[in-house]
Amino acid sequence: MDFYVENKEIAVGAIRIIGVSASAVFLIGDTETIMCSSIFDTPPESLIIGRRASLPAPSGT
Amino acid sequence: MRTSVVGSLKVLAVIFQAVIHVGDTRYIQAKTNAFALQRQIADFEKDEFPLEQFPMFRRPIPRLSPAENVRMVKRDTVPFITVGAVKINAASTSAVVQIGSNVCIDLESRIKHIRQFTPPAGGAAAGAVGAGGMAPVPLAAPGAGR
Repeated sequence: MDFYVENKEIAVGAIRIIGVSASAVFLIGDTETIMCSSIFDTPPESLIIGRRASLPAPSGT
Repeated sequence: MRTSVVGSLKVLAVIFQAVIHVGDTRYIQAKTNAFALQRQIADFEKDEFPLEQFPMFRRPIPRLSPAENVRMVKRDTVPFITVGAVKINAASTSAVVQIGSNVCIDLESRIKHIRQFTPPAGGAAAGAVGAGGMAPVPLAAPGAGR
């Protein structure tokens, strides 16, 4: 497959970002390949009302 | 590759394997494994939860082959990317902020997030709340922990 790109003028005034997080990319420039992967797990037991020693054994994930 | 022209860059926090890069580079690779356990009372022990015990830190992530059969032809009519001012509050957990060009960025992050609250005094409340309230949590023996 042929892929033709013509880069014309790009001029940005201001950029304001709160956060760049968990395998995210903020790029001012050129690139060829970007590979980002992220696993974020808050399991059903992610909110525990329990005693300190009662964190459940890991299961599944 | 074009030249990036940026008036100003302000970043407040760069944490947990994040990258701020000014200039060109070829390859950026970053990988983070995080276990975020928030306790109502901050009392933790060393190596309390080895990450290997959670399968999500072991399972392979499918990857695309970067060498797809694409022939890219690029023409830079204007060889500049111009940005006035950039302000970023925070970059975190295998994040990349770059002014400049690169060839390949390869990022991976795995985060497990658990919040644990101490039950109210005389606490009848024990168990997992949240998505369906599944999987009852075994209570520690009375007197153990706190």
